[in-house]
Amino acid sequence: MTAAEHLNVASIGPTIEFDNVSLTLGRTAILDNVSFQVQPGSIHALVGPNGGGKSSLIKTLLGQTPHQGQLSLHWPGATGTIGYVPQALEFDRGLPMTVDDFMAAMCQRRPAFLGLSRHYAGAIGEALERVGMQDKRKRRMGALSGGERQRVLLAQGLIPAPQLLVLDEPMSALDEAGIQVFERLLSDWRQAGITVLWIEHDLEAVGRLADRVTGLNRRVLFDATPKQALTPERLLTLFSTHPRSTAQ
Amino acid sequence: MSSVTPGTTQVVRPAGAGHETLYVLLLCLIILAVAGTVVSLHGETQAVEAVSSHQLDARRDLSAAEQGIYADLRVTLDEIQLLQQEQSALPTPAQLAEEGFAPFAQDASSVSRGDHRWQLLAPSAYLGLSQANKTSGSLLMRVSGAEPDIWLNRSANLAAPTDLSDQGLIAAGWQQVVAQFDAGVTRQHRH
Repeated sequence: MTAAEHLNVASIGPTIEFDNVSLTLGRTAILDNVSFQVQPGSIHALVGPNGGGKSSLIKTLLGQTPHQGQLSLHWPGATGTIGYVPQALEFDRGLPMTVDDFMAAMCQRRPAFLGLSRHYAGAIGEALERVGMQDKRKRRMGALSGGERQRVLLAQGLIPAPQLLVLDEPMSALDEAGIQVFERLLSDWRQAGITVLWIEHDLEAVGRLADRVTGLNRRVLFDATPKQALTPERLLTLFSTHPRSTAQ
Repeated sequence: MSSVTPGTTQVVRPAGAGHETLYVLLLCLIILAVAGTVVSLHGETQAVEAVSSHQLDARRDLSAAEQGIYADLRVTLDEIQLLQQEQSALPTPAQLAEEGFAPFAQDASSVSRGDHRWQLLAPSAYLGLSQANKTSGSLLMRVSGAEPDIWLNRSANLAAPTDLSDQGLIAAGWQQVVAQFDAGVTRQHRH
């Protein structure tokens, strides 16, 4: 059903093209000739074991690593906005920073201690409403549960409205209600034609929600639709090999 | 993708691959250029004015005793002019010595500086003939206006000059002592 819907939507997100992208930090090869494409307007999941280079690949996409190879974004129009939701952010319990302060610091140009900018207040309110955090805006970030904090991070990724959304394990800390919120957001993004690159551990969720899935363990092990990719044999090779020892 | 040809392609550049270093170097160059401009605009050229042949530089051409007398004369000139206004005539050296003004007063330091004998020359000049030419030459101060006008002659057995004009003094072997404030003389080492 989602695929049929997807065809009717004009995608506003970019195509992401990884062409022989390699990354070596020190003497550790983190990415080895990674080549795949993320289709515009699709929800592309990235799976793989810990230390397999998923987060490094995202950092590379955000231009934060000294990679080799060609990595390009083909935008349908002018260069658009990239939203990024990190895996987790640590906050001291006593840090006097409320959800509103955090959203202001992330979204507006005006310093957060001067209060919420009127220009962004509406968008921030709407984003917090979408993740169900509207009634906890005055709570301290450190006092939130892990799932609530994850929802705030999700809301932060919605402002300004992105055309490409990069999610680093957004569901890892979410509770049951939060997962429902996330799935609703995901279908909204699909409707809007946004390209979503999504790192996920929950293979059941990937099979249910993603359009395409790439298995990454230092190099690309497979790149296919979830139905083709998530077979027991493929998952065994993805999660059981030790590429560093075989490489030596 | 053929369907996105009218769009834009954005290539993600590797971080730290040289262009950041370039920007930092460029910034360094700009800072250096700005600093250099400011320094060159604010700098002052060190112009050393040459002293004429009939003149002596008060800072480096005088002996210690001569410098002391020269400085005292410059200070006492103010007093001389005050006294001149009071009594509408130049005070005599004896009068000045009585008041205790150096270098007219006779004391241990005046003796050690050459034991000058001061006299008033008409129309308006003080002549101090040195008794010890090795320590200090003879000095002459013309009183005309607020600026000190002091001359030095190191010859022994000097007679009082008759012609007190510039040319007359130069002809008699006198040299004018001038103070210049150009290059810092304290930073120069003349050995």
